Amino acid sequence: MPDFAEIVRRNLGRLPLEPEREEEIFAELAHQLEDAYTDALSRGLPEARAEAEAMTQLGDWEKLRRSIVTSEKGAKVLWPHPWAVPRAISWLALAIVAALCLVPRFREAMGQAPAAWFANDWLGVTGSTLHELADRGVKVRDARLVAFAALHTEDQAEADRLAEMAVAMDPAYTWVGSRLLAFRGAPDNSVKWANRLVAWDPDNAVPRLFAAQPLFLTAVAEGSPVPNSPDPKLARLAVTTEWGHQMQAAFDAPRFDTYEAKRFDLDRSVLRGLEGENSRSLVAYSCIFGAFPDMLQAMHYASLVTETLGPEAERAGHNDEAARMYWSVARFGQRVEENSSWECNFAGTRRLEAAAYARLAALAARSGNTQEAAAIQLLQAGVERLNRDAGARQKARASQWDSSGRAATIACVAAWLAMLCLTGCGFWAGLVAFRRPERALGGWPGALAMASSYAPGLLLGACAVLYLVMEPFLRSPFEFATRQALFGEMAPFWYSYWRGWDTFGFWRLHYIVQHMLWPVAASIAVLFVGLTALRRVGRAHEQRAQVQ
Amino acid sequence: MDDPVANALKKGSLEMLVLALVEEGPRHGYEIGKLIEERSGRALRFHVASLYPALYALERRGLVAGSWGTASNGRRRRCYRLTRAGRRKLAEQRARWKEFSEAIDTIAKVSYA
Repeated sequence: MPDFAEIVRRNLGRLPLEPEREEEIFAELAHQLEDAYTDALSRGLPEARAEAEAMTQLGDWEKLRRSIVTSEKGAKVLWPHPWAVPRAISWLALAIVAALCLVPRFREAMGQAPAAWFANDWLGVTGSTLHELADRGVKVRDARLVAFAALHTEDQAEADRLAEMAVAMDPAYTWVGSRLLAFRGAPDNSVKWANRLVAWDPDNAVPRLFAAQPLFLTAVAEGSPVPNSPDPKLARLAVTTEWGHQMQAAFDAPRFDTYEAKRFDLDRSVLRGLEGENSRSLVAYSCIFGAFPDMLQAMHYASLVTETLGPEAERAGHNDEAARMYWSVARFGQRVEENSSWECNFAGTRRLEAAAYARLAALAARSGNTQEAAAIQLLQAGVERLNRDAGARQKARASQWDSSGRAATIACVAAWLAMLCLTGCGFWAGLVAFRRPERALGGWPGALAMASSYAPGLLLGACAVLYLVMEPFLRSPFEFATRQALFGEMAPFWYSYWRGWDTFGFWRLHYIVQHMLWPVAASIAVLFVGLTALRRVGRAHEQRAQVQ
Repeated sequence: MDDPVANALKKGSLEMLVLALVEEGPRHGYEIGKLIEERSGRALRFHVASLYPALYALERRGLVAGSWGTASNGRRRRCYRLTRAGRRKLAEQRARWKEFSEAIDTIAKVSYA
């Protein structure tokens, strides 16, 4: 006779019952099979057929297992469920996650999920913190803190007020006013700060370009000249008006400084104290370029110089004056490229630079300076080559953003999964702590309990993926000496990561608080009332069953 | 009996059938299953996955009491006997069944040949 006791034991597995009761049930079911088998033999069936017939009595072992425990406990679904992950494995997964949390970089990677969840759309310093910093700066007379708040405060009037305070405390922070120039729709502020910056930093082309900007807009309001198609009216403006004067001064200025380095140094100095060595706000702020003037007017002016004013001077026999004009355009182009990081402007300025070199080379050749002409032609060729290669550099940057974007998407999904699994782990740990396995858990809580047993393993997997993807980007932003370097290395990933969270923007805490607080509260209340009612009905039903 | 109505009737009557069979004397699970099959002329046949859970539920509710003993074939078997509560429950169920079946007969005009 087959060992039916063993067959029953193997197929039913452990039952969440007292061991004696479990043994009793196994024995009883084994006897049932034995009797069926003996009956079949006595009817003349061969042993194999008799065994098969006995086994048909049982059919679905899982159904039998569930029915037995339901009958024994009076509840519907069994927990621990047979599909549930064994507790030892879940505990092991949690232990590994806990051990990995001892590694600081792992901890930092894990911290990025809640950081993004709690953050607003932009992971910079919050408005309230900026306010506190400004107050502290005023209190302790630290212009640095006030200037930082002025740089990052969103409200334009407040930024203007703070910038004024910072400059009053320390005029060395006058450059902070350059931030006010970038605001649109505030011509008064722009003019005020542009003029102050011109006076404070006369060797810099940038404040002069900002000062010229409203003049240009006024001067050309009636026409719509385009670069490289010089308008005679504009040519007159260039030599006769304040705009032309400012532009000439800007092109002759020895520096082109958008205050990017000063801004980056200030951000570093304040954020190191505020957020420590792993400041993510510094990475976020690296996405902000320096105060960059509208370069269209500069291109207009350069075009006028190389196409109209310079040739006119040449025709009048003022070759030295013409050369001076061409050199001012060429050097302006060089300075823009050397001192700023906005690639999209380079194409225009390089083209003007090349045009200026072409004029200079021709002028030198006509004057019989063949060596000088050859040297200038080399400069021209270099600029043109740079412009030709710009497409490839752009493509490389786009590819870096694409690959970082993919990594960031994986990190976003892993971070979300980790947060979800953490909730699942809490539920699972609560069940383990408060619900003995001897007690069955019925209905959907049973299914939820079974699902939650997968949470620790999934948490480990999600954390591992999150860490592996983020690891190369967990460098301290203070390792980078310039904004460009920090932006180039870190921004593609972090920017995509934060943007990725916008995909789940619905789930950001501030969104829930702002838009979903009452619907969520109402849903929880309805859920609570519904569950309480169901529980009462269930209890009443159980009591009736016990009475019967 | 694949008809859902028949299945529901069968399922609903299992408790009364088991109680009625153990009223006659202590019986083990296999014997109960066989007797239901034989006495119903093979119209009723309960699966192990239904019969044993039903027995355990009855035992849990104190309507039957199970104990190990020796069956007629000399083998050790767990036999179930009716308790006093079980006897009351059986009487109640019989009355209800009678009332129910008479009502159904009246409405459906079932005639017994």
